[in-house]
Amino acid sequence: MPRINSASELEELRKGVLSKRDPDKPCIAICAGMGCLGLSNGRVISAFEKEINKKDLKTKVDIRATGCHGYCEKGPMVLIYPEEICYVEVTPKDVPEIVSQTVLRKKVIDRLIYADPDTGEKAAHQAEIPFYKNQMRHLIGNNAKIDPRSIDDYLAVGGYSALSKSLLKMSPEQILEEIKKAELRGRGGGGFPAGRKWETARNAPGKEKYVIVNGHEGELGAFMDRAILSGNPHSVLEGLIIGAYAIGSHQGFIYTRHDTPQLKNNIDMALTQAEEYGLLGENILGSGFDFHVEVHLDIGIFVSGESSALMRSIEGNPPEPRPKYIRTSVSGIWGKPSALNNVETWANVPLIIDKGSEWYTSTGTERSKGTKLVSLSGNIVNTGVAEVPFGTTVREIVFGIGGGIPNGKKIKAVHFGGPMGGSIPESLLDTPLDFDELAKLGAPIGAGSMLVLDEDTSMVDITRYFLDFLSNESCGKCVPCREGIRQMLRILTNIRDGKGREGDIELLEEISEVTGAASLCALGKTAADPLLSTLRYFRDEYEANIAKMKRSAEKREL
Amino acid sequence: MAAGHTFEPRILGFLCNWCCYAGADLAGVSRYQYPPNIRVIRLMCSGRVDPAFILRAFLNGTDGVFIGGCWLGECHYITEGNYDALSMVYICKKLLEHIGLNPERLRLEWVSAGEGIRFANIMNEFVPGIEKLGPLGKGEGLDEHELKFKLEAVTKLIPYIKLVERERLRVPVRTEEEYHKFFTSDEFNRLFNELIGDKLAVCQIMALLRERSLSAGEISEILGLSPSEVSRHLNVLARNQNLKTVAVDNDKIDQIINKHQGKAGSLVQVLLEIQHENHWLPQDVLDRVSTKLDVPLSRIMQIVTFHKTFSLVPKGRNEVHVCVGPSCYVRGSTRLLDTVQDLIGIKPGETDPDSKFSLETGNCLGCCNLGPEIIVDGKHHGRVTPDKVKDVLKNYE
Amino acid sequence: MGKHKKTSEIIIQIDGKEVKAAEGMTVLEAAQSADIFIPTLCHHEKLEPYGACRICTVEAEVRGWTKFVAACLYPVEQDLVVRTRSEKVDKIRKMILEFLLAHAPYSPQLQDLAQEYGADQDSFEKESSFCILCGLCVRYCAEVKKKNAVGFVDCGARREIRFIPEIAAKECHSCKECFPLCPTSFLQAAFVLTESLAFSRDSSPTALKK
Repeated sequence: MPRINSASELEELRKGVLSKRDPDKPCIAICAGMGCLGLSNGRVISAFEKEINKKDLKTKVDIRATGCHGYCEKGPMVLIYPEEICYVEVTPKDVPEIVSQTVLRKKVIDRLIYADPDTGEKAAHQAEIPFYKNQMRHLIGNNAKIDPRSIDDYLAVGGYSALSKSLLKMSPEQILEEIKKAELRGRGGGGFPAGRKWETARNAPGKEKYVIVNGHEGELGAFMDRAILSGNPHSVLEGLIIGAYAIGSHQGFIYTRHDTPQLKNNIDMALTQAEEYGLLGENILGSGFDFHVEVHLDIGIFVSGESSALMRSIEGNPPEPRPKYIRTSVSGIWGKPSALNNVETWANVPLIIDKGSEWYTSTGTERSKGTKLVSLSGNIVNTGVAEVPFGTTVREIVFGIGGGIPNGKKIKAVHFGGPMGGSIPESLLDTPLDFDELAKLGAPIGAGSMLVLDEDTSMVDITRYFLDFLSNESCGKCVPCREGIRQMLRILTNIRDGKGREGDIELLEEISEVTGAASLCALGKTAADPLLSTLRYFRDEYEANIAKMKRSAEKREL
Repeated sequence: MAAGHTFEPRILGFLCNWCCYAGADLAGVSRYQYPPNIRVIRLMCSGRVDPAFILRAFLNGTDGVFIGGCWLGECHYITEGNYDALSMVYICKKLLEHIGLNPERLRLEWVSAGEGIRFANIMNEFVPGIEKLGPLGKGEGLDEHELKFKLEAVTKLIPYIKLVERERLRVPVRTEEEYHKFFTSDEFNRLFNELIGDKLAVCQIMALLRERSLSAGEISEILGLSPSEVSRHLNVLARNQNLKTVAVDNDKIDQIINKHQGKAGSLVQVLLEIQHENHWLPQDVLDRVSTKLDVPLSRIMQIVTFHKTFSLVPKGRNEVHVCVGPSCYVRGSTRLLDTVQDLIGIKPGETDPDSKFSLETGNCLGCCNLGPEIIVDGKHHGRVTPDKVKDVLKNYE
Repeated sequence: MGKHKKTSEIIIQIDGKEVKAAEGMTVLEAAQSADIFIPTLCHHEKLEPYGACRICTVEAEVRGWTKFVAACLYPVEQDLVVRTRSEKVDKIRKMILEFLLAHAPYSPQLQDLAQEYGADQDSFEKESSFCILCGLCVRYCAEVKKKNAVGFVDCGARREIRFIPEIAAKECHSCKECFPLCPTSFLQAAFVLTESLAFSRDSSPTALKK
């Protein structure tokens, strides 16, 4: 591969890539995302390969295994370009027909296209399917067009132009300014302004600085980060390099899950290809800027996604959080300034640089700009990853995109943010998706997982579930968190099992007050959040469980 | 059995100098009749009886042990040693029961200096009682080797048990009722099992493995523990003294170490890769990693026990993960997990005795569209109902 | 940044008293220098601050913001106002003590503090382990003795301390300096347990057949 040494060489390369592509040549894009794995998409892919070989179409048809398309519920999903015909729930059996009918004769196979479960209305293109219709897919949209293992695919959709603009036309200060003007807020859960974090790291004393992609995604029910990181790794990498340049860092880390081999493979491939093109490594694009990236696999425990624990893990220590009285952007890995952002945050960066902060801030709400990836799971018709502008109401997401609740059940609540998050009841579904609005309701947006719960769910039980999870997945270092969770879990188990006593709710509140104030890290401080939010909206369920116990005890006494 | 009349039980008595010894003396002087089987050791206080004395007595073939002290409240020392004797005997009885010996073989009584007749009466009851129980071990159906093995295992733990007694099994109020209440309570049973019972099992497994190499199935048979219990204990044992492997390919380990050496946080990456290649982390390998990367073993142990990704015991041929993420949870993963547990007979974190399956609960892998889901050897099986899971598992050997 | 490097003296207020402190000091150090008592369990002057027990939690007011911080870790800064006792601080300490008393009701250190803060040892159901995981032994062995004979294993509610038998068999008998540091004597129990389970006098290798 040629090494690129300037902006014009990059554009030439891009032209070269595009010129080799015939827009009219059929291409079969098969979703190879995580959600489709268990639906045997591997067999679908190899069936297509076999069929194309058999029919001797290798030069006439392209096959592309792409990243996650988001609509996991209907996977494996297959798109036939250039018409962009979309087939859902494809099995290997369907493959010969797709090739002979659609690829060769441009005929739509009626039984394979999407049909609305309620109205029966059919849709042959992604854009017409309700799940996609109401989305704004700035970040994830390219997934369906890209083979994550091909940098040329990324270049073909305009990739790395933001990097070239940043390194060759902008100063680090200008980039910082642009990110700050875009009001980009961290997507990992805190919603902290990324520009301010970067600025702190940039201004912190010391020459060595680090930038980190937090791709740990430990939040239960969140799977949008891996959709981006494995489906379009270059977009994250591009953002990371731009951030490194703005901060003045020459070493980056991508921290990700060990339990998803696909993730590491795709990231490794992306790094190698970027390095070969000179988009990573020494003297990137001839700008004189050097930057290297190491991939670090986590050991899979929830607490290791906490930024200071993650940094300790990169140092080779057990993932125990450190108190952040001095911020990690000042003293992080080995005591050096370290700017950590989540996958989605980094993926937003090229977009902002490319299109400008003004364009970026035109989407969203007053204090939450741009789009947000959310993953829908639980009792919902359409499980999957969706991208919506901030300000979309929760109801629109659950019913418009998610298709509502299966089996004719009613919705009870939507739980945001996994084990450190909170739930909102049906009555608040018209709340817009917004960092601050949701936080006010005690259900901070977190990384964007939305667990939909139907009327049969016991909120006491689901709260107990999250605490049980935390009691296993916290580090156990500090007393308020370790022991507080242990005791809250015990009380909740009793209440769930009908052994609750009067005063239990008050005791739970007391414990949560102490863990919230005195714990060492954010995990402990927010461990009781699901409890507090369910006590806020579903207190009657707790009381009913305890009262039941009291009644039966009284009966015994009589 | 015909040998009945030849069995003369051997009884050892530990008598306190101030009361019971004087009582026994009085019984003798007063010519009260009682069986002559007891041999007596005089101590200044019944509180002096160490559990190790009792076990040593049994190890040396004594069939019954008697402890005599002053009545509660009448101890000649302000430390009230007879209360210590009381809790020690409660615990020792529990220990005897735990290893399959009849707790009646140990008896504690209060006899004052003037109660010669009481001493004789107790002996007239105790000795025939032991006679009825038969010789130690044989009466309980334990062979000699097994008996010795079990008693030795308990003896080894005595220093630990004494500390546990002092710190965790203490009764704050010194009355006989309070002692009785505590030592017959559920709380005592729970504490005993967690603090002592489990350790005793581990100790026995360790002793068995010292003698010869055994499989989990064989251990389960010898100790009469369920496969699930054995697997659980092996997990604990591996943290105290790791299991050695039969053969480790050191070159392969070195290759992995060299590949990552010098990189930040190489330790975790090395461990992950070895776990991935070898499916478990034997002691020798951890030692090697510790030396080569110059990382203390204690830190390695902390990291490898931090998450179920790593295993310190050999895993089964097939690794079954039941996803217990929230989406799978609300879609019925609990029932699915129960079914899997019933089918393969082990709990999460354990391996069956034939090493066919290891079971783990897995956190959300983000395939929520597939819930409830199980993953066998990395292969996802989605939308598995409890009745479908049998079909999934039967394909694995 | 780094503006205060030269001006090393910082004035802070602890319980209404002006205290002079040097840059880089923790609140606990500043308080100790002024003879103001803040209770600690996992703190030891020879060891790096650890911040696990949180019994030293105090109220810190910075620029009108009040938060609860661990005194053993929180760095002093100009105009910091610290309150070592308040209703909420006492409440936090009381509950932390009750959590710990469920493990180690007979620890003299805990009992003394329990009296001060009115903690009830029977507030929570008894736990079997009597270790409070202050980590004094682990850190002393690593930081002062540099032997690493004892370490933490496991995480979350299952966290415990374990000796590394190979190292402990060699090093511990002649040292045992960590034993008096333990507030509950669990360390001793863990040691004798390791001794009986793993110090092999007779034969060493244990193998599990596959």
